[in-house]
Amino acid sequence: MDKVTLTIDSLNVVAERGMTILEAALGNGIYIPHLCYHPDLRPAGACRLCIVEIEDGQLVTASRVPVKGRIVVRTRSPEVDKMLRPIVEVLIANHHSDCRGCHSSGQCELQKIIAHLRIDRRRVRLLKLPKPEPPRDTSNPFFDFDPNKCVLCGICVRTCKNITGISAIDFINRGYATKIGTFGDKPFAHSRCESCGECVIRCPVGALIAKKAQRPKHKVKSVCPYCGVGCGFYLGTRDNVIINTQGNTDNPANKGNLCVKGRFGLTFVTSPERLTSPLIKKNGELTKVSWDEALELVAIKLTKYRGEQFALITSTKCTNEENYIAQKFARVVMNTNNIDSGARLCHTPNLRVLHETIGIGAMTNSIEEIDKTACILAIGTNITQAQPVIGFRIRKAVRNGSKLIVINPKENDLCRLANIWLRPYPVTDVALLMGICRLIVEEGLLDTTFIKKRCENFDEFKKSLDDFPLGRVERITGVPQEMIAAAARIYATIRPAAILWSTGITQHSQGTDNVFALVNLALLTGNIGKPSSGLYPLLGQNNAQGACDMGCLPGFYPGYQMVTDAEVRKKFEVAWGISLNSEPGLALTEIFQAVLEGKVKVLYIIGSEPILSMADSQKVKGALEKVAILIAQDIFSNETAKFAHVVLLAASFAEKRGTFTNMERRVQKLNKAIEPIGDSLPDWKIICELAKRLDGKGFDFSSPEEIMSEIASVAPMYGGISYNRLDKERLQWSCLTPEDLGTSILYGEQFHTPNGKAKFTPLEYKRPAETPDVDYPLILTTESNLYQQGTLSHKVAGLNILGSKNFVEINSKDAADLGVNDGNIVQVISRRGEIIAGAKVTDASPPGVVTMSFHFIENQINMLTNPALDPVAKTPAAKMCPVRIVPQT
Amino acid sequence: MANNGLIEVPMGITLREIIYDIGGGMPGGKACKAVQTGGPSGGCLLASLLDIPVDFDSLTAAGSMMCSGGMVVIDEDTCMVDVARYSLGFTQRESCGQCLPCRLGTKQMFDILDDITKGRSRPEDIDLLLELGEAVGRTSLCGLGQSAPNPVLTTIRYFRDEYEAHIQEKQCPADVCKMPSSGVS
Repeated sequence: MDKVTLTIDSLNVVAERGMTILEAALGNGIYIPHLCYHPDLRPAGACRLCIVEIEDGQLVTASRVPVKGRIVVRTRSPEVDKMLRPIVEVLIANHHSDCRGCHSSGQCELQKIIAHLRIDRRRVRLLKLPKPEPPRDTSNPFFDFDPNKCVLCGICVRTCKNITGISAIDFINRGYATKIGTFGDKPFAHSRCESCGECVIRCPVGALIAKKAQRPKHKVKSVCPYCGVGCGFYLGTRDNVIINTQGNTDNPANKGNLCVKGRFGLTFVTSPERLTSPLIKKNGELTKVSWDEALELVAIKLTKYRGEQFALITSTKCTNEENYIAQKFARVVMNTNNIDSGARLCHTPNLRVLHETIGIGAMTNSIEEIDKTACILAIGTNITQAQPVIGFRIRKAVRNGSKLIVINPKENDLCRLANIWLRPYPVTDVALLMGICRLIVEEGLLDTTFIKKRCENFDEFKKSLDDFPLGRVERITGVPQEMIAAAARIYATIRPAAILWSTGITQHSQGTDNVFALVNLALLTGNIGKPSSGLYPLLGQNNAQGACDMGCLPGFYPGYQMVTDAEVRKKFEVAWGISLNSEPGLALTEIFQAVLEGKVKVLYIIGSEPILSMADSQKVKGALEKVAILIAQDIFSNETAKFAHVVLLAASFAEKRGTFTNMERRVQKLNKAIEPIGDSLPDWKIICELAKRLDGKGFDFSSPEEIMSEIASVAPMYGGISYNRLDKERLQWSCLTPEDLGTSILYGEQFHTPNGKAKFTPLEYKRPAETPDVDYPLILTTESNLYQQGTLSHKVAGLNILGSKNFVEINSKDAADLGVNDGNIVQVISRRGEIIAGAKVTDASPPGVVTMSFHFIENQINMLTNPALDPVAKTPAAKMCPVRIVPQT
Repeated sequence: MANNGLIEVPMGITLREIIYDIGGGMPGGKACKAVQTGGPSGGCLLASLLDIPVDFDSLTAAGSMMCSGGMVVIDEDTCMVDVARYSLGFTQRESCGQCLPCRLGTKQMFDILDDITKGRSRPEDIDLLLELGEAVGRTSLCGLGQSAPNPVLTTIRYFRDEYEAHIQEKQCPADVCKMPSSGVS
């Protein structure tokens, strides 16, 4: 970078050319008053307080003038003072001037200016402006807005527009009446605001301020426990309580940004509902017991059920180390491969397909590359709700000119930004994607060189396209041919192009076919192995990737090494010093079936809530009631615990060390921020303790570091990962050796398949497992909600307030046919069950489709959904099922 | 004036020629007290300056400006403080509010002027107006804020006595402003 020397207040300072005078000064520790400048935002020059004097007495605003050549700047001069002082005095006169009781006091930029200029309050009093005091907006459960303190610097407005892309707030009115407000001047809680708090942390005064703001005593680097983005943050703590979180700007996944859950949703950690000791069911009541009693009981029970009678369901919220220990426990101590996790419900179709076609079951590229993607294809994903921080990036990319293709039956936030939005009937994705592929082939828009050099099976695939003339695709999907063609041309010609998807693709009985279709599309256009291109399976759980990496899969050992491969098994038998069961175990969905059939008698469920998360929850409930021994391990007494014989008390993410692997394969370390609540223990300690009581060998770990070294020794893709390195480096697997810098883009040279080539897959269109009929004429689809994410968010009062979207969305035409009005109570009935919900009449859902959020305990949507499995990945078709709606009178 | 309307004149013509030769002077033979050139953001010039030529440099030197070429001719029945208040009221209402000096400074100045015309003034008000006027003019982001203080600064410069009468004696010499004390006498 080109350096320039300039003189500020007779000091020679060095700055980068193109920096503003203000940045040069601040960077060199020289203060210039400012309110509207923020390093994350482009300069506005609106507060006019950064005026400085340059040569020949000219006054300029330092935040707007770039440093060019050697200039002389004076930040203080009689002239500057004469201009600045009256302006600041007028500003103070218009500002709620009582600093006592203001949570910003001490960090307030206005206070700093007042001190810097030594403003005489008596002069301010001459200016007293009569003005009505507008009321504070306290509608948002996480922060307040006090217009009396607002200096209208516009940082919040620019943050909401340029950083998050939400644009929920703006200046309203004009001149002296200008204020910050939402669309229609509605309260924040009733606006488009996503409550991410990015504006709150940037407010230079106390106008936007977190409720109950306190200053933390300690700051601990950690990783968000909610979705799979894996945002890095610092936990601010005080008296063993998390006071706030601050985004880690060095983290490449979130670059300091957080969503509402990461910023405000961590109060579950110290929720009064947290359990404080292990529990044992005595006379039908869960009773507090000591660790010794609980573990002894579990150990005695488990001794009798080694082998196929035992199944372990581990958690996508637990750390890698804990998941590693869990699968090792199942395999080594219990001699079974019946180990699985919630990743079965969303991610396994991705794992299977990507493993088979290109080699590695994970995102091919990195989250930060989305910024530079020229074309984004978002299919079957509600990104702004489920992975909000990626939503910020997509909005930014689109603003910077990226093309956006959205494919989704239901309208979501991204549809409004999209260049083209295809709205197929639910579960017709294979036909649609094959139609797109066919057009690309027909018009010669494919990357022939890439296909010839790096792929196989293309001719078979091409032949299978014969079944998908656009006329047929239009009939199947309901999407007009011209729109299919237009989307295909955009995706094929604008490069690099990336495909983003999530459960709208995977949670179907043909989930694997859907993913095959996406892989075909990427291969066809050569959009793989290059920066900002590739395949982005988006994950809803923070460690869904890690749990799979760690071998919490019935068919794979850690590092996706197959249980059925004798050589691999031998390797693990040597490493673990025991002979292993060679039969692949049962998948999550099969485990419950096996319980009902009496084959599995002991369920050990760690940090999971199958009643809420699995399709056909009645059946799951039946299994939990039937199982001979149910061990629940969680931080709360959850729905599963209600059926449990023993509840083992786990510590939350904030109380332990370990690593999470986010959806872009980045292994990130979390540190202990607070002492464990009650008697809780990290999951790995509980399992190790149990293993020792069952004479398990190889569980003598004294820290998560030691577990990570063992992981590195058995899972090659983690081979180079160690805690020492994670403290300093940012590592994405594959990371084979301690010298390996990790891999941000997979398949640059060759694919990780046996012959190094990627495989095209011929596909045919299959109808969904269950289709609408006269009795169940509507299709119910499930969707995620920004404010909710399973059991953790349920314990956060504010998230429950904002996310009380406990209704069924019905298209206005269907509502008219049914005689349902907005707000009416209706019964939603499927072949498996019925639930009651409020109706919301909307055109976001297309005619024939109704939508519900899947997060609520009170309103268990999975009573309705279909347990029909994808034949390969064994993921249930929880995304949709036919229902009928009956208005309640 | 006797003749109002749109006129086209050569650059360099004097104000006097425009007012008396073209405009036909004040109706009823009243005296011309001041001329505000350039619209509501322009300055008010003293009648003794009527012989300066109408061009960019001369008007700027006198504290006003050419701007839109608008011209308001003020006769002896008009209060100059009220003219300043009226003009600033216009620009203050037109402020977009983006920059701080214009948004808050013009409102502050307007409130002070409003107080002066209503007999609620304080001795320090003239100094305050001068300080604020200069700061708003020099630091505002766009031309509106930069020129808004002109009528105030020029009326203080040329008609300070009228301000002082309002402030010290609570009297409006032109008897335009409704002063509380004048009602009693």
